[in-house]
Amino acid sequence: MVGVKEELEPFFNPKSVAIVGATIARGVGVFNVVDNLMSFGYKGEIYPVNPKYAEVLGKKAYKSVKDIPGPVDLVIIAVGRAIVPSIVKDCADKGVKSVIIVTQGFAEADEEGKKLQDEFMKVAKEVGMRVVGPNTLGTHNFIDNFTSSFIPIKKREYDPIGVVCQTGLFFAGFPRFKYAKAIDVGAAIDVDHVDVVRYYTEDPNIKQIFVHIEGFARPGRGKEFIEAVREAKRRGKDVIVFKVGETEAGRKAVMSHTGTLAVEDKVFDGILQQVGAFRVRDYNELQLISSALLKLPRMKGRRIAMLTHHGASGVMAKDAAEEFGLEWANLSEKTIKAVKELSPPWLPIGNPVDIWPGLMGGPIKMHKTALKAVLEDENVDGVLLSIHIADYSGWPAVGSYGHVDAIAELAPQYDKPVIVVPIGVEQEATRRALENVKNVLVCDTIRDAFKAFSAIAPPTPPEMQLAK
Amino acid sequence: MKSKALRELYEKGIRILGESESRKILEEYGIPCPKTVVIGYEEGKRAEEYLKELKRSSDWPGYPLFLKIISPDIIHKSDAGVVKRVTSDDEALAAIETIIKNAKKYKAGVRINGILASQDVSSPEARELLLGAVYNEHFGHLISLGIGGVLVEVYKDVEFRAIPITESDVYSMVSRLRGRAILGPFRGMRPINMNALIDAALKLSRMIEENPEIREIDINPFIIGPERGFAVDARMRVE
Repeated sequence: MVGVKEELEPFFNPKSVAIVGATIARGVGVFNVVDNLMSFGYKGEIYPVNPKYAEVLGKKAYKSVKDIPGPVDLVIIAVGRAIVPSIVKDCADKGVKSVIIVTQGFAEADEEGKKLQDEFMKVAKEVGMRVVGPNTLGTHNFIDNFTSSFIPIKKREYDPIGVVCQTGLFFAGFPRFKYAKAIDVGAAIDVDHVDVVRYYTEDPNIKQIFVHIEGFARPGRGKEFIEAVREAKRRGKDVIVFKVGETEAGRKAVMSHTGTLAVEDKVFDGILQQVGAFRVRDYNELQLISSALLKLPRMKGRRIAMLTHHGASGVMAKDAAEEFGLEWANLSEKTIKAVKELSPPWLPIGNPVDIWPGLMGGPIKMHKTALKAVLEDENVDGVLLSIHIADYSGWPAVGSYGHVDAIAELAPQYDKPVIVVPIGVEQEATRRALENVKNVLVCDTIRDAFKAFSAIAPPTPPEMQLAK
Repeated sequence: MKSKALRELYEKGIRILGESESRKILEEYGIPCPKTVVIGYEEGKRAEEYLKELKRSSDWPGYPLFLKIISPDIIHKSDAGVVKRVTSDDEALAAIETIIKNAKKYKAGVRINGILASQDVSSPEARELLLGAVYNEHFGHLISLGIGGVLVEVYKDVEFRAIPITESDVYSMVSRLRGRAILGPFRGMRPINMNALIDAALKLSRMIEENPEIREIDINPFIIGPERGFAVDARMRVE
């Protein structure tokens, strides 16, 4: 039997691809897959298929998939729905095993659409062909320079993230979510989330799997999803899930409270807890959790030390720690002594550690000393820095407070996460300065920082859970 | 369908199981239920006779206890006045007469199958939970655990996990309840016995695994205190 990796590989990285419905038009507002593929740097064979043209963008065009001389790894179908079954039949005759159906208007639309869908799926099943879609942008792969997308996407740097979604919108990515591979499973009538999670699990280039799901197209797939996510976790991959939409299916039970309360969202929530997947509910949370998991080392316990320029952030942090179940480290004698030596004698040293008074005697020294102390403190599992950088005219540029240098120098030396929350108009400059520093994440808010800690912290021990 | 008790009922064509039928299956799986005795109903039989028969049974729980009418026609028993808590023989005799009278008033032609005496397992430290299961077309059978009692659908404070569940699933479910604090120490009450809750939830999970024909079950309330937990009332639907 062919494994899921081999079966889905042609969708992400085909040696040759035919585009049925290829067009010669180019330019702004024209969605030309052939054009996108070429400018994306795809190295395989491109076969445009369109009986109207002899040539498309310098490539010989074919009347039918069956006329293509060599083997065809993948066919992208973007034609009117009525002729999709006959194109799929051509593909089957040609021996094609992988087809992306961009066209929409099938079972999700009307009776006629359902008839057409049943017709082409029957052919596909007979020859063991895998189908992505319908109603999809297909795939996008920054590692191997392949795209089936009719929307142009620029080449860029990427992180080891694999995306499976039910909308092309995630293909755009986000400033702090630069995936490597993405697939839009569309209506998911054949290739679905479960298949793709299994594919990414086998893919050594992928360390984090992001699942956007509206629902399962087929009953029973939820159970397989549980197994697929568990296997991904066993293989050391993180799974982040964005579940949206509520369908009535699966709620036929009416007699019991249990049945009435088992709404899809609630059930999904429990299942994701059970399998150790992270649930996000918006784009900000996605970027936050994704980058925390990618950039930060895992915490060994749930004890936080906070260094802050202002007491107010410390108060916010107390609330956030409570919300996310993080604990406050009992700082060691050594840490307290190190901070006390640089602080005015009247200042009590607690946690959060108020480093502002100590900064007055020399910000560079204070930042370094305090940060080193908490990083070396065995009672501390994670470090939070709340830094106030206002644009006071005449104050030196970012970094001369010493915080950027201190973090960049010290954080990579220890196996502890350092989260920085810069406050002030130079927030973005601080973010950029620390972007590529190992073990460091810059967050927008104190609450985000604790949300990020909770993603990388070990679970609360059972006896604590009840006591809280 | 591994449960012998369930198979017997199933073969009789029973698909909705009330309290006394459900408890047979729960007991088969070792989920603790309050001690109960059932005496068949006979038109014209006197309260003294019912009480004598109840007390003769080896399952007689002793006072305090609840006396209830068993009837397939009466769903909300407290509302219909066919449940009474009693603490002595005198109270019991009066209660038997009252609940029979109230049952007959409930509706014309009401079916009365018997009178049930069940142990009152409540205590000042007892909390009411919901334990249950339901079949989900995506994930298969799910176990539910939440804050129980009559307001269960108001609070909607219930967690779900797919079977089979583990001990850490039970902890995780409890930790995600908004009302989890009532399981810990509060207002001078000792925390609930988590092991008793875990034990019952895991047994329920096994019961559902071995009897997938059970499509829905509510154990509400599952009454639990610092020492023991009891499935006080349960209903299930089988397919």
